[in-house]
Amino acid sequence: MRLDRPISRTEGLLTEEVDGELLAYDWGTNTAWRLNSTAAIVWRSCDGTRTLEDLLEVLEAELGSGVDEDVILIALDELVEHGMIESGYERRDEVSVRLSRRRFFKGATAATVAVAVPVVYSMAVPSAAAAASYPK
Amino acid sequence: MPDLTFESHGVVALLSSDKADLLCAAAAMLPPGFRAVEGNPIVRFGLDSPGAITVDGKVVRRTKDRRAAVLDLASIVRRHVAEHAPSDVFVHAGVVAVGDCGIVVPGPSHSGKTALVAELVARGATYYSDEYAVVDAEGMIHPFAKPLTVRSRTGDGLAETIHVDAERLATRPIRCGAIVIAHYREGATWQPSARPCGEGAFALLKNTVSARRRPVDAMRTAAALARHAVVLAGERGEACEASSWLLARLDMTVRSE
Repeated sequence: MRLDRPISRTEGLLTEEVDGELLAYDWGTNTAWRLNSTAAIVWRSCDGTRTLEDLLEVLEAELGSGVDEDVILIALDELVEHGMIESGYERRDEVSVRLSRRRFFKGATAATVAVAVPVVYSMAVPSAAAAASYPK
Repeated sequence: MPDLTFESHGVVALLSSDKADLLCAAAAMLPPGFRAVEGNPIVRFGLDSPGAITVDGKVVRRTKDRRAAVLDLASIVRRHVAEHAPSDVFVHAGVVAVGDCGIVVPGPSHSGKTALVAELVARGATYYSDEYAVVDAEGMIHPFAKPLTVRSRTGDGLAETIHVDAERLATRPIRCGAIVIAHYREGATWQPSARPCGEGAFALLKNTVSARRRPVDAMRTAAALARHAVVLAGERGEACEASSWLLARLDMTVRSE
């Protein structure tokens, strides 16, 4: 794993905030993403100035207790996988990713349950013909 | 050759046919709220008596059944308007209203939204559309009440029209109060869960006809509709169960036919 003040990709992206979550659209590839609230906070906070510890502080300030390093790393892995981190972080190997998730859920308490595991959903935005009705 | 130039949601188009009565039949099925105009059309639709449907001179479909041809052409025209409207954003969705609450059911063709809309209307909801949520720049959803049609159960591919009383037809724009993401599965029990607004917005964006052509407007519309809406998602079986549940939860007096 390499983490060095990650920078989120913003070029070519349209974004809209929806009740703490984030919608993003890449008009070059017609791909859209939905970041849940935890992933959205991490993405917004990756401005090239923050270390892992700084990101942890931001997340704790936004979500309260129950946040640890695993949450940040899971979020960054998700964001890299979907091409939403420009630089400063490389996705970990699958074993490390799974271990993080296992630690997160194993250590879940009432407090951590309130912290949603970071998730990024993606979809290919359909063409007009695909999105509309076929003749009935 | 008889023809008609019309405007619908900012799209000026020409409709022509080799038969006057066929033109009349096709004109009767033009998008709700269309108006005859004079002007330069940006697209030309045609329907001839042998059953060829053309768009800008190119044959896009052929059918020998006259009624099917008229319905097919109507669908093609609506889809073109949905994609090319310069201001309104069209989301592939059924829409009804309960009081001041607009209920949007996004989904592509064959997703069962028409059946759910029909049941909701039969139980007292106001009918906006079974095909598109038409959203203006202020986030208001306008009526687009084409005839409520469901696919024939005889398997012949034709559509059956369901009558909607005039008092059940929407006449004014409405705000989105609920987004219902309902996936049909035979035998399923409707037990939806409340979902984040972001999920509702994502579902709307997925079904926005002009998302690729106007991504800024599509994103803004999806977000605006979802921000203040209750989002429900789940599998449903028969539409009557889901419609009863929805109307009861929205404190609507259920009025069965």
